[in-house]
Amino acid sequence: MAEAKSIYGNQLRSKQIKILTKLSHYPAALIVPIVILIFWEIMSRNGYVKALILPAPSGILDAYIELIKSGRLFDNLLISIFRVAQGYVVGAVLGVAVGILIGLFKRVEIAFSIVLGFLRPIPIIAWMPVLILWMGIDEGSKVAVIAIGSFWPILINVVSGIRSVDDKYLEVAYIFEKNKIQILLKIVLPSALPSIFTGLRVGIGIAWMCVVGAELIASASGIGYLIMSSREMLQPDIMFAGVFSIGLIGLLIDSSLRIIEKRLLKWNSNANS
Amino acid sequence: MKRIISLVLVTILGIVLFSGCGTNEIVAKDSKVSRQTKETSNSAAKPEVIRIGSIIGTISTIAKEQGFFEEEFNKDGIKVEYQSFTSGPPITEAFISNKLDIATYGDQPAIVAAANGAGVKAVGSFTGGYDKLALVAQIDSDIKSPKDLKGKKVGITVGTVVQHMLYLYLDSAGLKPEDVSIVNLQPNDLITALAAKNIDAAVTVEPFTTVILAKKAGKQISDSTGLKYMAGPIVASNDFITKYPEIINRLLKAYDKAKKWEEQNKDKASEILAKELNIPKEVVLAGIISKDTDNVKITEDVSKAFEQTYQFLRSSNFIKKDYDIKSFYDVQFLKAAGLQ
Amino acid sequence: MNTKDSNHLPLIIKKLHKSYKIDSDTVDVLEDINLTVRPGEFISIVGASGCGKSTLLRLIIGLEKNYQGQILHGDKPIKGPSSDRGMVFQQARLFPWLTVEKNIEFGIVGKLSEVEKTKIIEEHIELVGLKGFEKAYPHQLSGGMQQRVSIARALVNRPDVLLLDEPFGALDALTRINMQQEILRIWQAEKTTMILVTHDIDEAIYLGDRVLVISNRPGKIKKNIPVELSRPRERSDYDFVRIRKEIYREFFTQEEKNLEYFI
Repeated sequence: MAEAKSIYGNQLRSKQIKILTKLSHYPAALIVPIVILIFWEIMSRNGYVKALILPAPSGILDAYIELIKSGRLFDNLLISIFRVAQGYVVGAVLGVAVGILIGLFKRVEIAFSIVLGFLRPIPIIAWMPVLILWMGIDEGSKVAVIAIGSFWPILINVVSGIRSVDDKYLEVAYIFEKNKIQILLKIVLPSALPSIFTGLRVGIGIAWMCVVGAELIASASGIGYLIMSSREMLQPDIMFAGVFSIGLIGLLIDSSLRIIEKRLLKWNSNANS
Repeated sequence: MKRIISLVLVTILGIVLFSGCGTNEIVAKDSKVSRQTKETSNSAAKPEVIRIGSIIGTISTIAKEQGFFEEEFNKDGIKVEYQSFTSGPPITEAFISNKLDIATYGDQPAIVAAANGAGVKAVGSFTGGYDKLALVAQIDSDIKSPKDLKGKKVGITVGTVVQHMLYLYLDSAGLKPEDVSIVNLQPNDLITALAAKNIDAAVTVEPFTTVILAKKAGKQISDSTGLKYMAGPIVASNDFITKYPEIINRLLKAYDKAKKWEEQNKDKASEILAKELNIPKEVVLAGIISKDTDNVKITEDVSKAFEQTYQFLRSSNFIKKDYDIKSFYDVQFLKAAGLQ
Repeated sequence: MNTKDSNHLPLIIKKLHKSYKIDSDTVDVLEDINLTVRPGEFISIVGASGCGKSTLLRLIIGLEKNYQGQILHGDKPIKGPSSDRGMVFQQARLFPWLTVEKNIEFGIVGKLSEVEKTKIIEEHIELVGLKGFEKAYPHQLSGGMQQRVSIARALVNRPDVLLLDEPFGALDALTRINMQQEILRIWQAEKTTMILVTHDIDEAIYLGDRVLVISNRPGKIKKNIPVELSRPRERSDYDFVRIRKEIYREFFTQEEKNLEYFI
């Protein structure tokens, strides 16, 4: 019992040390962005950088404040987030389902290999005219674009995770006379979970990146539309504010997923850092 | 670590000192351009090439096909390059990145460009009238007037003249932008969307209105009579104007020649645009050529239209600071060319 | 604790022959293996790498199937895995996403109530000396501790026979010696038939009632050496050393003189 306590105690202490070390990196890491911002601001003020091509950080900040005050930023962000959520769920469900089937059954893989191999290289931008033709210019085509974008990385990672289940585990399951369903649920899926999660994380990143593309054609709302229309209206400060917001939200989404992943996969000592 | 911090501080100090040496105007827009033009204004100089931009289906295509620019400039060994666009905002971008010297496009994007410091100015007018803008609806629609737009999906190209037009239509019917569902589409996509019945109506400008009618993608409900005089300026970059004012005069002359030729040769002119737009020449004749102006003057109608557009842009806060609209256009070149 | 005393069955192998087809060649892995393991016996099998001793275990546990000859547990031929036979591998093969107790629970074959399950799991955790670590994850345990969980899992169904395929090969020397004592203790408590495969000759002698020496390609039983020493055994004991010499001779024909200097 004492042995158990001391091993746990050591691990807790080393975790605390890890966190403190990470936090101490932040001041140093912030120096570079701050220097860049100062340099940029000075260049803009002196006219070395044309405001119409690259607005000064102060201009972008002003645009940000105005967008937040008028509610335009949050309204449009929410609309885009909602679209991305819808598309992502569709893409993720399909990606995981098809991925599991392909990973488990060689016959399914062979059956789908040509169709998938043909569709995969098609860039998402190229899908848009087709989708608009089939689904019109409403939400449908936008959600579809996002779904397609998130589908592929999720599919690939799910298949990879399922295929890479260690044979040694499968032998253990065989020895203990487990049936196919038990093997799937108790060994294959948990073993594949880190890969599946990686796929989900990459997928949401791409889904979020798709939203600008999806809102490029025929939209009147959303953060992508905000960027596009401000470009047309020669408002680069709003455009950049929009672009930055995309980066920020993308970062938030990824960080949140990482936290969830750490919780669910706390047994995965490789990933914990 | 200490070394990095001191290196960074020295860099910042250096930048601050260095920037203190130069001109200290806290001007965010245009100062670089004005510095350049001070150095190189020399009216006898000639450019090696003149880069002309235009929207498809307009007088510029006719001028290009008939070689009016080459006629005017080849004898000086000046080359002419053409770029065509389907809407205004990309033309503004081309000006900003210094890829165009002169172009013909709608007043809304041109005024936004000038007011926001893109360094452009109107030196003439390539089209004008109350019959250039239109409200179009699906081919079998029961929309009869702007009033019927309520609750419908209306397509426009944001940043171009049709945006203002939509607001005027809505205003005239006592509607607000929130009463309709606005969809932002490029001009070609407006045509497809209307034909595919993805939108109920659209606000379009020539030549796209005529293309829609020719392809039976929709029908015209009304034009802009009583609401907006469509003004299409001939816009040049301030840089080019300062360097080569004589060339501006000659360019205007070439445009004017094209206009006069179009007036005399309506049939042939229709053929040229029919080829570019891929629609029958009869439709082009009726919808575009017959309605075209025959000169490049900045008339009172035109300058009033500029004013009206500016008011709309300023009050909707698309232009954030007050701007003297009179500084947008300059008739001296037309006068010097004997055209006004 | 052990309710199966009277039901232990012998393991009988008659004229066992196993070969693999690699491309167009046939490789004989095991040839003419004849062996009877008495209930409750602890036998050690030694041989050089690749001599087929692991294959022998895999045939007994039911992981490999196509063979000629007979493998019988009691009077029933072995056709696949069964809860009567358990196996421990060189790697612990614990599922990283399950705790110690859940890993052991995985081994349970058959329907039991939650109460019964908990009781059995607790018993086996105590058996292998891991009380207090029920909720630990494999990555938090040392190599020796992981192997103990693996043993607990293999024994949770109270199998007749436990097969151990180089179970301590991945552990450091000191832990190995510790684990040898542990497995001895467990064997004496459970009285399970133990079949151990190892290439540690000392380990084979320390643990087994007899030591089988398997020759190399194809694997045949070269020697069957009884170890009639009382336990706990002394590695430096005269008889221990004598048996060690005898086994060494099967592998190394020269260097007889140098053996005197080994501990």
